Amino acid sequence: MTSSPIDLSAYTPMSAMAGFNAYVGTMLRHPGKAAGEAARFAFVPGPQHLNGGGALHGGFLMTLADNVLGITANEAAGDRFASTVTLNTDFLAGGTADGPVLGTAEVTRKTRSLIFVAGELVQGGRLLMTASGIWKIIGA
Amino acid sequence: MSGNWLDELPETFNGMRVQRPAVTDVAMPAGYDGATGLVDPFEAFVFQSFKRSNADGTTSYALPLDARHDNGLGVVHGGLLMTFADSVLGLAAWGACAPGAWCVTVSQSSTFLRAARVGDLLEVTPIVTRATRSMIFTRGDFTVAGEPIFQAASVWKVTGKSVSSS
Repeated sequence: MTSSPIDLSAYTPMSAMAGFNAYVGTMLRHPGKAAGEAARFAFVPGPQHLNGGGALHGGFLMTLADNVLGITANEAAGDRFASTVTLNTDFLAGGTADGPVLGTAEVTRKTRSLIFVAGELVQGGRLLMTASGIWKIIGA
Repeated sequence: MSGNWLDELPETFNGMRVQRPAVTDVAMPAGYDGATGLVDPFEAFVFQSFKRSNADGTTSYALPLDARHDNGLGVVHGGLLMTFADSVLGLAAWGACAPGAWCVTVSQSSTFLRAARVGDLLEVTPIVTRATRSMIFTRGDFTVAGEPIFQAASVWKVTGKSVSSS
């Protein structure tokens, strides 16, 4: 079962991912982030990312959202580290293991110690998840 | 996908090797009386958990945090905590569904209070806050050694066969 193939050739694997992220799978990143544009990520899921009903597991999608929004937050934090304080995730549609999940995120507000981020996950043109969260800049 | 889903997974998928769990021998912690049934491939891939039936009718769950769960910075990844929450709050939500019905996550709010570490025992007793004909509301306070480290609240849509009464 194949939908129209999505060209991921512009995306490159994020080699810096370690631990749980590396275990769950390889996140890809689109390098062409222009000023004011959302950062773009991709992940190619497999059968180990499914739930018992054959759809992508909610925990897997929330893990992706935490990474997509969290990387965006940490880049806004500069040389400081920012950790997730809240993450709200809405499940708009079920995903499958039949094609890449694309993720985007943008910083909606940054204060001295907090970064507010919003993003979404899309598969085959279908919106799977909208997410928003707050990251705390550690030591700020 | 019932039974041992590991036997049903293909060796390769879309040209990529399908991963197997890196840890499969997690010991049951004291105070728990059985393994939580492995319902979903992703859950079995990322954790093993255990359950205990309480006298008040609730069920408690425990997840021994192992080497898979480190985020690379010495603390447990939020994605693992949210996955465990979706799994055990889902068990509570499904338990509140009428026979033949099931439910799917519509929304989950996750709050991270403090870091958990590999070797910690994560525990929770999920609560069904409200159940209506078409929606179920659940929440859980997740603790390590009695200290709250993570909170989740989720909303479930009842689907499948309609619920006859509630």
